[in-house]
This record gives sequence, structure tokens and C-alpha cells, in this order.
Amino acid sequence: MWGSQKKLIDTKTLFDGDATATSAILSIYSQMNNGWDYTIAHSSGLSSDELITWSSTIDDIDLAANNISTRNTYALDVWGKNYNYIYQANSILEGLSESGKLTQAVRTQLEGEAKFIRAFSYFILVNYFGAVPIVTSTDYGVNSKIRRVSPDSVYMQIEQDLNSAVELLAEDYKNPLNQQTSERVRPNKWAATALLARVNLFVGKWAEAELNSSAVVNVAQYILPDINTVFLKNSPEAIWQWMSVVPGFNTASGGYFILEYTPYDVSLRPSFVSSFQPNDLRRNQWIGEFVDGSEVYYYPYKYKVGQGASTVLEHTTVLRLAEQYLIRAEARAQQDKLPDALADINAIRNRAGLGDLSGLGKSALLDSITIERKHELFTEFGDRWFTLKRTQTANAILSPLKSPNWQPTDQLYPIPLSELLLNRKLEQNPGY
Amino acid sequence: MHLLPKLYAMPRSWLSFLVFFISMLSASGQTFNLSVDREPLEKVFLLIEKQSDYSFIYTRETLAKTKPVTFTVRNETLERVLNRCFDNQPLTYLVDDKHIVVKQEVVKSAAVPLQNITGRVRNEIGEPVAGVTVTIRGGGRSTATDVNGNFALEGSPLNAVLVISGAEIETQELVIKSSAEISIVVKARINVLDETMVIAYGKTTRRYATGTLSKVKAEEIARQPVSNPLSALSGRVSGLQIRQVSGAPGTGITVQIRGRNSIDNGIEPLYLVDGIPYPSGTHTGDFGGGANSYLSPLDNINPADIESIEVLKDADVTAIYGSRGANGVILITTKKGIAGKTHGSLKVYSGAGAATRKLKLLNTGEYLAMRREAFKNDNVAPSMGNAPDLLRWDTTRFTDWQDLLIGNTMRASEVTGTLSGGTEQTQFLLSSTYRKETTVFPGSFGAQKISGSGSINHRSADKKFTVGFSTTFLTNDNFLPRSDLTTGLLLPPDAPVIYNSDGSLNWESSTWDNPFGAVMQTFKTKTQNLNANLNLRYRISENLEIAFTGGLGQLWVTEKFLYPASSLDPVYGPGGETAAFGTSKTTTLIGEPQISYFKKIGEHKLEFLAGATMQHTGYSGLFVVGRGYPNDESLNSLAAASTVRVNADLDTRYRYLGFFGRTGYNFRNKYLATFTIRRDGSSRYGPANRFKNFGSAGAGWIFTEEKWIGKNTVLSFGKIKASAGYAANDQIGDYKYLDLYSSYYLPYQGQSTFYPTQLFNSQFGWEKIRKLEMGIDLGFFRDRVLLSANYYYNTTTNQLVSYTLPATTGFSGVLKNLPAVIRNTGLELELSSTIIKNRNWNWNASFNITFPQNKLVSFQDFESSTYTNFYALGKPLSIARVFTNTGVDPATGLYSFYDYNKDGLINGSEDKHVILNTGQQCFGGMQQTLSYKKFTFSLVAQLAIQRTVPSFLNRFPRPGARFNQPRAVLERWKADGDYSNIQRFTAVNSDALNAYSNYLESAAAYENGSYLRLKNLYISYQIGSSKLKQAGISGLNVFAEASNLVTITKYRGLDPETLQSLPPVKVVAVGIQFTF
Repeated sequence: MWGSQKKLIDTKTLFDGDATATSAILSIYSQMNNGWDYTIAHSSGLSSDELITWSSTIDDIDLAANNISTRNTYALDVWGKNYNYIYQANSILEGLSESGKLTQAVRTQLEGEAKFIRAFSYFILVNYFGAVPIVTSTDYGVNSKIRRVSPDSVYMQIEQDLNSAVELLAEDYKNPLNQQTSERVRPNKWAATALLARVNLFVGKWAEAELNSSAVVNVAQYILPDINTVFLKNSPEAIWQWMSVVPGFNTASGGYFILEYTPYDVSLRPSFVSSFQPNDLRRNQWIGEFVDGSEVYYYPYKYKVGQGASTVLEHTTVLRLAEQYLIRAEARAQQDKLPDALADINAIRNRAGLGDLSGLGKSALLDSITIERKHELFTEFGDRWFTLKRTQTANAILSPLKSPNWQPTDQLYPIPLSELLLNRKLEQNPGY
Repeated sequence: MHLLPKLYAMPRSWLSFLVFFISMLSASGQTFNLSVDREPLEKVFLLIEKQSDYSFIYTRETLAKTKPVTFTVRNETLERVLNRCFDNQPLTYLVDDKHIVVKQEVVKSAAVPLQNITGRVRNEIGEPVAGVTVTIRGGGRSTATDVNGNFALEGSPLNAVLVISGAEIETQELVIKSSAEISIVVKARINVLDETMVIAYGKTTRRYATGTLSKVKAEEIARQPVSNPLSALSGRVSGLQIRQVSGAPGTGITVQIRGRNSIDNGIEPLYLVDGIPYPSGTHTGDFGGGANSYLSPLDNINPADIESIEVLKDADVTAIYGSRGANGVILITTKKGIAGKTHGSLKVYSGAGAATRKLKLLNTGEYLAMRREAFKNDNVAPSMGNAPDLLRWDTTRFTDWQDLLIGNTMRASEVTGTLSGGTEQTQFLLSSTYRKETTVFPGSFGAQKISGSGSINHRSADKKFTVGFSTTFLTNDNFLPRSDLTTGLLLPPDAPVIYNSDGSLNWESSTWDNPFGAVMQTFKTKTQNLNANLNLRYRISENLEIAFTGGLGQLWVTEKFLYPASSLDPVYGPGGETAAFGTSKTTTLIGEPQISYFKKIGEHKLEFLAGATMQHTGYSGLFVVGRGYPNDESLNSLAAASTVRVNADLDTRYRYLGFFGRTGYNFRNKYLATFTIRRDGSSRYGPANRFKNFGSAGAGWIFTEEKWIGKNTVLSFGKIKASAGYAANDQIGDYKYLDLYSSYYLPYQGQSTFYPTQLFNSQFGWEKIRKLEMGIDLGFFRDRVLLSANYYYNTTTNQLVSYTLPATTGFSGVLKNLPAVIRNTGLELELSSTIIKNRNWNWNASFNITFPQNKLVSFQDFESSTYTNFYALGKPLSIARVFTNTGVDPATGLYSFYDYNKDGLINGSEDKHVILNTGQQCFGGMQQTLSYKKFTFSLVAQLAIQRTVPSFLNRFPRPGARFNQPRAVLERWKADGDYSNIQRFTAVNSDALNAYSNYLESAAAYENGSYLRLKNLYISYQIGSSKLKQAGISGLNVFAEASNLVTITKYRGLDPETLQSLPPVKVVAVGIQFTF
């Protein structure tokens, strides 16, 4: 006689069916598609040298000045959303392990995707905040009193999840019925491998980075197409995309970056734009200009569809082949395989209409790879901000741009104040 | 001893001996022998006095027009003798002990035919009233009514005045017009102590109640031009704290009875309309409401339909509501028909209003100077991007945005018609109201309500069976702008023109947010409320009665939120136009069988009540958003949308089962006791914690009934009472004990998606409140002055809270029981007095005041909990932890703060050292009702003492930003070495921004928000004339009424009650009421 409901579904029932269990994983991609790419690109772009702000709100001004308050809402958003995605991944993993009714193929696929999502979220967390707590269950009793662990431990967790995902995930892309589809909107084995290659690079495991990136580069379905088709839906370069599901938008990055008016949020930093060679196709094709009287504002124009979209032409590209070339180039250079590294970087340069580099020493080659990364992957999931920190060039590059507020401790965001207040076992990053 | 002025008593000392002698002879049987011939009356009186010890009292003028008398009597009684004297004289007399008072006759009875009259006296519910005295004025003839209320009087003159009086009824007079049987309806005498008050499943009086409750009557509600009946309670009831959230029509009102018992779950009282639980909080759906607010469900009850509102406070009256009684109970009882002649009334009023206050802001010149100074301070050049107000806009413009956006005149008008009547057995009532109200916003916003109600009551001829059925229906169309336009007062005074020459909105190249975009984005809510209630009673014997009450309450809500393309800056491209549609329905079904038994054993009176409650409440809601319309005209049609998305699709059910019992005991109307028990089950709890027991005990001692206290001319009534009991709170929402996924609004790969909605806890149990109370009720000067003092001491344990968790858990909290104890104590004083009551004047005054205290008493492992930064042990729940502002640093011009932990940073909880209480220290009210002849005047004033509320500064971003500012900022720091309380202007400087945001979290950003408000003013004049009566109109009342006319406060913002929202509206209305 007690209550019942129609529109809610209890966890046990959810994981008793292939379709409903799959719907739980799909929901995470829908949620991510709802602005997550822009959240990351916007905050990390302001923190690095990519973007400048026109906003008069304190959170934006602080980000741009690298003077972030512990109450900064962007910091809280990055922290909170990641842990919410991690919760969902953990909930799915627990649901899968307790369910006895799922098809084995579905169970394997979903487990791989959940671990992939968890790794993806920890990768963002560790790069924003440094040491973070590792949460691998849904037990709020444990998770509310959890301590931060070192970045090394976080990376170990990420590698463990990704290695597992590589094993579990199929090579093809799946639709909700777990059948093959041409839409690259759920992670497959290669997405996990590609993210693993990036993680290898970030922790300096050069050989493994080379191995994993090579594995992806060698898959026939991934090629470097014409520069104007890179970000289209189901682009042959895409390794993992988020399907466009938000009405009025193709992608959040397109919707929010493209300027059709005097900016009040962000635009590209003029010095960032002028760092391109004039004949670089990426400067001409991936950067837009809005002219307002005598003033020119630049904006990322990788995605061409702004707000008010009625047909879907573009999906948010999360992982793509060009990065794998850049990873391999760097890994090879670090292992002193300079000709191979040059070949990889020239592949990227040629696609951008630039000529081959040649005859560079290791150090100069690594510098060139960093510049190529900057020009290839700008405003894509924090790559520039993460690279500046990873290559320990943040102080040198940002200090002159952000004076007088820049301090070396600004390389990490503060742990949100509310988190410190709610969990006394969390300690703040230095400088906050 | 003589009552009349200019008095002449017969000099009779010289006669005393003789009189004594004659008395001995003849006056022992009081007979007279007298013979007079054309003697003046005065002389006859003398003769009578000689024969007896009676004396006459009269004035010379009285006898001026008398005729000489002639008669002879032998051994006749005094009465016969006097009749001879006064026959055909314009006089009347009264025998009072040994005095015979002679007066001029008031009613001319000359040449009036005499007749016999009969009649029947009944009370308002049609029952016969026995033992009432019926007297013909002037004539001295009188009789009393029999058990059936019947009376008969012989020889009454036509047009004589009948006076109906008695100990327990209001004295009434009427003119006899015909010989037909007269039907008289009398009102029970209003000794406030004996007024009926509604309680759970019964009634009580202030005299015999062992619990604490307050009543607000229909006539008090009727004097206020309000739409929401809760507004009419402001300042009237002790212990009841009411806060209007916004001045927009229909929006929320928060109500708290005896303080906040719970850290965060359901602090609303339980509302019952004729016994049917009524939704509290809000009925606004998934899209939020208009004007950045939410709608109050109580706005869908017509104040004109309400007979009384009882506010139940202590354990004695609330424990019987068990799991829902923790926060007190508000009983709304609707009007019922009255037996007697069918009568009707029509009331019409209309008024106008405006926002209570305005702020003083910068003009264009001052504003531009501020902005330029800000950029100069920041060492940043203004650019087209960050300073369009300086570089792009026409800087010669000035607009008073406050005036434009909230400075309009609102209008309200209302018409109510009622018809009522019936026989002793069956009574009916029909009533209907139409109300229309506009707003102070620009545009055609407002609310329109139409309501109808009907009630029928019937009693069988043998009086054993009664049935009552009543129903009310109300439809409410509320139409508001999307946002509260009050925020528009922040717009720069040089902001651009609103419209382009083609009539479209001007966005000035996307450099401002045109507030008229929000005016075009509308929120329409249509609410329909149906309440139907059935009440069946059967009296098996004199002592035993069974009853069944049941009802249906239904609230349908349809919402329509339109976001037309024309309201949006076109630069963002097409496709932004949106129309959101919501429909929801809340249905409550309740059935309550009851049995009651009354037993009198000697002087012991015992009452027993037992019953059960079965309740089912279902909620369903569907919220859909359409986007991409071909044009704005088609927004209303979901079919025209290119994409349709389901925002929420909800279906929840709440079931509730309770058993209750109550025993009342009364010994010699002196010693009183009440015991209640309840066993409740609620579907909101997990299977292990579903049922729980509650109960209370209350006692009273009317010490003025004790013999030893004797008859006291000052203290006429005195009662000491106390009660104790347990209740609980189940306002936690449904299904919280389940681990649930719900559907996410964005599908993926064409498949619907599910996400986890909450952390779950299957083990949470009831939040329990223990209520203790002591009180004293005193009546002075025959109960003309009544004083009540109550002290309550309520303790809530096992706090059920949405326990705030760090985001590492994936969510912000989980529902959980906390080992915390919250104590609410308070002293409530109510004083009411009839200062003057006579034929022409009637002056009643009442006062109430409450001193509430709220305290977090204990909290196990508080220091390691997530609550340390929001609460403090030993402090109220309503606190703010704030920084200490140490002024403006004369060197930097920035606000500086005291660094308590000396870590060089102003940050975290440790520097927020000061704790402020943001709640109310005291609240109360005053009512005065003064009537003189046909004039009535009344006022209600409301008082709130709240010394630290968020200051008006919280509305404003930092001075120097692209927002207007209060004029006070002109006193800012300007140059090195300046001492000022206001930091330097800043446009985009990060340090200055942080200093300002810390300032808003410092003690300096709180201010005294105490206020005294003239809540209501009412003046009326009753016109009654024979011409009107011939036209069938028995009464005509002309009145003027006003709300929120004057507010006295030091608060610097718009209004200390609504704080940052639209201030309350002050309304003045005039009206007229006909009764026929």
C-alpha cells in the first residue's frame, strides 16, 4: 500500500536490463555535452595565455589575473562536476557487479566505459588541483572524510582504469543496442588507448606513450583529414566525440566562443593569435575575427556552428588523431628518436599548410613540439594550460603576462573553500 | 441613593410616626384605601406615601404634562392604585424595592390597538433558546421563553419595542409590526472567554482550553484588502512569524509558528482547510515562478470564504496531528449558512497602490564620474568592450529605472456576493468573489481570481443525524514577468533607449541587458483549487456520537513560460525563442471516522474521542519545453516547436495512516485535563521506521472558581495551564529512503538516459519534537481586560536533515538523522481589552508580543561535522559567521579585515570570527477597533525587531562596476591617506573585487532591519434608513481600507521585510457593502 512511482527507477531494476543499464552510461555523455568542454576550455584558457576576459564578474577577472579566490565558482564547478561523474561511474560499476541479469557483452562494454569516464575525470582533476582524493565507491560515509593523495597515486589510478578499459572495450563504436555504429560518440578501445598515451606522456613514460599512440595512429579508420573537416561530426580524425544533444547548440565551444557581438565574456589573447605564422591554416581557419569599429576581437573558430543551430553538423571532439601524432613526436624526441619525431610533427605541420622542420636538436625539437601543440590543440580541454605546467614553462611564460599577480603557486587551483569546510581532512594548496 | 438629577423627595420626617402607625394597620398586606377627586398627581403620590413606606422619585418636568386624577379604591394593591394614577398619563413607572421611579413614557401608546403576540427565539444555528426574557419596552410586561424557545405576550401595542435579553445572549430589540408570529435569531453573548474555537476534531473555548491557540475571525480578515489569507494574520497572532517574500501578487509568504525547529527540513506548519490537508510551501513547478519568486498555494483560498483561522501552537492541541504537528497547525474553517430569513450581501471595493519605498541612487553625472574614477584607479583604459556606458552610450541620457520598472500604480478591485439562509433543519450558503489585481511593474501583469463556494447543512427532525457538505472552488490566473524587475534599478542611469524606432527592443550593439526583454518574457500560472468536504454525524444516544469526515482537495496548476524571439538580442541567432509548458496536479483524499462519548458522573465531566486518519496525496507533473518556433505568435502552440524536450515527468504518492484518541476531563469547571495519543505511519520513511507514537497531556486550573478566592471585583477570571507532548515532522519529500535513478532530460544516441538523483539512506528515522508549555490566562473587570502569558520550551531531537556533504561524495548532501538538539523557547503575551463599551462608543484594543529564542543546544561530534561553519553551539540557527571589517586601508583604498589566525590571508572559516544573529529578537502587533455610533475605525500595526539583517548593500555589486549605486558611495576613498568607510571605486581590479566580496561577508554588510508597520487601516460608516429598508436593503456600509500605509524603519534598503525583492505594495481602497 505504500508509495510507488513511475518516472523514477530504483538502482536494482536499472541494472537488471541491458537497455536501462546502458542508459545510465549514456546519461553521463549527455551531461558532459551540456557545456563541459566550454567549462574546461574557458577556465584553463584564462589561466593560461590563450584567452582574455571582458567580464566584470569577479570569478572571471580572478581567473584571468591568476588571483583565484577559494570561492571561485569555476574551480568549484570543475571539482564538483568531476566528482559527480566519478560518482556515476562508481554507481554504474557497483550496479554492474551486483547485477546478474545483464548480457556479458553489455556488461563488459559498460564496465570499460565507466572506467574510462572515471579516468577521464581524474585526469582533469589532477591537472587542475594536483593531489586530489581518489573516490572509487558510492559510500558517502567514506567519501565525505577522504584525504587527498599525491598526483602520482592519482595517475596510477588513472592508468589502472585505462588499462582495464583497453581490455574491456570493443574496437568498434557501439550504439545503445551494443551494435556497431559509425557514430564515434562512445569510447572504444582506441579512445582508452589514446587517453592512456596522453597519460603516459604526462607522467614521462616515453616508451609506453610511443607504443600507445602508435597503436592509435596505426588504426586505419583514423586519418588526418582536411583542416576544415576536423571538427565535423563523425570526422575521420575523431577518436571520441560527444554527440550534439543540447537544443540550439551543436557544441558548447561553438555556441559560446564565436563572437557576433562585442565580447563581454572572453576572446583570444592578441599575442596568442600573433604567435602563429601568417601562412598557418590554423590561424586562418580556426581563428575568427569580430571587428567593432577600430577594435578587432579574435575567437576560437574550430567549431563553426554558433547558437541557434537547427541542424547538427558538428560534435564536440574530445580525443582526436592529431594529438596522438604530437604525443608520439614528443615521446620519440624524449627517447632521442629525432627523425621519427620530426616525421610526426611534420605530419601535423603539413596539414596546417606549413613546411617541414628539419635538423633540429632535441631541445629545439621539443620546443617546436610544444609550439605545435599550442597551435593545434588550443582551447581543447585545457591542453595548453596542462602543457605549460607539465613542461615547467608556466612561470616563464605567464609571469610577464599576468604581473603583478602571478605566483608559482597559481599553477594549481585552490581546493574550493566549501570543500575544506565540509571535510576537515582536506588541505588547501599552497598560496591560498 | 436617588438616581435622577434635580431630585425632589417628599419631606416626610414629620410624618414618620403617623406612617409607621398606618403601616401597622394596613400596609402589612400592602393594600390601600384612597379617594381622590381631580387631584394633581403629586398630591396623590403624597397620599400613597402616607399609607406605605414607598417613596416616589420623579422630576417636576416629568409631571408637567400630567392630568389630574379622580378615583376611589378600597383595599387595593399598589399595582392597581398605580395603574389608576398612570392611566392615560404620558408616564411610566418602575418599582425598585421601596422606590417608585416615575418617567416619561417613551413610546406613544395612545390610541394604539393592543394585541397578543407570539414568537420564537433561536440561536444562529437554528436551535431554540430557552429562558430568554422578552419585555415590551416601557410597558413593563415581560415573559420568558419556554424550552422550545416560544413565548407569548398579551396586550402589546403595535409598534412597541420588544427587548430580548438574557445572560448568555446579546441584548436585541425589534419593533412589532404585525400580529404574525415573530421569529427572532439571537447571538450568543460575546464574552471572549466563551467564544468557540476550532481544534482538531472538535471545539473548545478560551475558558476551558488546556492548550494554546489563537483565533482570527472573519470580520478581522474582511477589513483587509488582501488576496492571500495569510497576509491577514500579520501582527495578529503571538508566536506566529510571517514574512512576505515579495510584493508581486500571489508570491510566497513564509510562516513559522514558535520558531524554527529543524535545521533544514520543512519548517512550514500543517494547513488544514475544513479538515483537509492543504499544500504549503509552493505549487510553482519545475520552471521556477515569475518575478524570480514562487507562488504561495494559500493564495488560492478566498479570504472572504473564511469564517475563522485558528493557529494551534502547543503540544496539547498539536500532538494529535502526530507526525505533522511539529511546526504547529493552521486550521482554516470556511463559512456556513445561518438559519432564518434569507439574506444576502454584496461587497465591492477598489483601490490603488504603489511600492512602499524607493532608493536614492546616483544620477548620470555622478555615475559617469564614478566609472571614470574606477578605471583610473585600476590603471585600465576604458574600452568599447568593458565600458560601453562611457564610450558608446549617449552619456547625456538619464533614466530613473526604479520609477520606470517598479514605480507604476497597481490597482486592485474585488466584488463578493453571498446569499445565506435556511430553516432550523437546513441551512445554506452561497458565495462568489471576483478579484483583479495589477502590479507596479510596467506591462499588463497581475492576477485575476474567481471563486465560488457553497455549503449546506442539514439536521434530521429527531436531531440525531446531521450532515454538512461544503465546497470551494477558485481559479487564479497569475501573470508575471520572468524576473523581478526590481533588479533593474541597478541599470546605469545613462543606459540606452528601450525601443528602436521600429518598435523592437534596442540592444545597443549587445552592450546591455534591456530590462524590457524581461518584461516580454512572461510567466503565466493558472491555478484551480477545489476543496470539497463532507461531515456526517449520528448521535446514537445522548452521550454517544459517531462521525465521519472526509474530503477531497485538488490543486491543478498549468504554467506557461514564454520567451519570445522579440525579447532576445537577435545577435545570438534564431532558435533562442522558447516556450515552456507545465501541468501538475496535487490530489489529496482523506477520510477520518470518529467516535465520541460524553459522560457526567456527579461533578466529573468526561469526554472521549477516538478515530483514524487515512490520507492519500498524489502529485503528478509534466514539464515540457519547446524551442525553435517559426514566429512569436506560434509560441503558444507546442506543435509549432521544432524541438520538444521533456524537462520533468513526475509522479509521486504519499500515504499516511494514523489512529488517534483524546480524553477531556472537567471537574466543577475548575480542574481541567486533556490527554491525546496518536500512532502514525508515513510512506516517506523506510519500512523499518514507518510507524511511530505521539501524545500529549495538558492540565488547567481555573483558580477563580475556588471558593476561597471569593468574589473579586478586579480579577474575574484566572487559569493556570500546562502541557507537554511529542509531535514530529515528515516534510522531507517522498522516496528519500530509496536509491533511485531518474530520467535525464537530454537523450543520447536517440535513447532516453537515466542518472542517479540523490544519495540515499534507507535508515533515516523521525525527527521528534518535545513541546512543553506553561501559561496563565487572566480576566479583569468582568473579563473586559484579558491577559494571556505563555512560555514554551520546545526541543527537537534526532534532526532529520539533508546533511551537507563535500562534493567528493558526488552530491551536495544526503538525508540523514543528526544527533543535534534544537531548542525553541519563547514568551508570548497577549492583552485584549474592551476599553469603552456603551450605547455609542465601543473601543477594543489588543496587543501581542513574542520574544522567541532559538538555540542549537548540542550536536554530537559537532566539530568534525560539516555544519561547523554554518552553525554554532549555543547560538540560534539563524546566524551568519562574518569577517571583521577594519575599515578602508588609507594607503590602498581597499577594505581591510582582521586576520584572526594571522596567516596573512583573509580566508576560510577562521577569519570569520564574528557571529551575527540574523533572526528576529521580538515580534508583535497591535489592533485597535473603535466605533462611535455608525462609524467604525480599526488599525493593525506590526512590529519586528531584527537587529542584523543582510544590508541593502547586498543588492549592489562593487562601486565602480557598470551598475548604479546608492548615493552613499560618494563618500568613498579617493587618494592615499584618505580615511573613509567606503573603499575606492574599481572596475576590474581583482584585489579590489575580492576586498568588496569579503566586505559583503563582513559584519559591515548587516544592518538593523527592525520595523514598525501600519499593516492595515479601516474606516467604515453604516448607513441605515427607512427608505433603504423599503428598497429591501437592510444595511449599507461605506468603507475605506489601506495596507502597509506607513513603515517606520532604519533599514536603508527598499523594505526590511522583503529585503532584496520587490517591496510590499501599499494599497488604499474604498468600497461599499449592501446587505439585504
